[in-house]
Amino acid sequence: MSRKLFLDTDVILGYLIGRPTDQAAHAGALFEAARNGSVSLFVSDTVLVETAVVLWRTLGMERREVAHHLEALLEAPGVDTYDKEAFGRALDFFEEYPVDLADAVLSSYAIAEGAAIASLDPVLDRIPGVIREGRWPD
Amino acid sequence: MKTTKVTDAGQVQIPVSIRDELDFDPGGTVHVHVEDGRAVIRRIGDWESMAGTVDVPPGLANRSLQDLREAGKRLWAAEAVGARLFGPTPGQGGVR
Repeated sequence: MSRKLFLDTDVILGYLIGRPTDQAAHAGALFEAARNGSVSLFVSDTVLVETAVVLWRTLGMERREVAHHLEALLEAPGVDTYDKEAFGRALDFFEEYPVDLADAVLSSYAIAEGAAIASLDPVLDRIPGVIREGRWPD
Repeated sequence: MKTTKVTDAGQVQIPVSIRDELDFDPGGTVHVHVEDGRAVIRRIGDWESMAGTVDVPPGLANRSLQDLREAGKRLWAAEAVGARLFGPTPGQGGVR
């Protein structure tokens, strides 16, 4: 069984940006190790969301491109996350609706559970399937 | 126009000419979604080929990865708090 490593945001960013060159090389070697099965890489929702924030907000990447990069990461050999199907749906929401990825993940998990979201943010109402409860008690 | 049948299991065969045109390789993963009443199939990008492909804007070229992370979090926090208190600012949150 291969050793499991949790990925941090800077490894993903260094790999995609290609600099600093030494860190990018380390990141590349890590993904290569995952590809050949000597390690397994786990990427948490928080790291995926932070990566999306940097790509989208700091570097100005289009939503669609952000979603496609994270989608490719999650399909890379030896890379896993908590729930690929739910996170994939969150990426679809992020690409299509005016929500940030954190809200998209929240929405996707709530839909998967068949649960409502307790939230004061009406933007969530735009995501199909989301049931939002903004007043308590009803 | 190419036509193909849907099996009981929901499988469809993508014609060879289309697989070739779109670089759909055997064993590859595709993304399927509905868009305007149509099923859209898109090849998922290859992570291996994405290394070093993301550009950093000139003004941030000398920033460390940690600086980029912090900048993203500050922008995100400011927008998220601002939007909840004062409503979205022009251009914020829209699909670009």
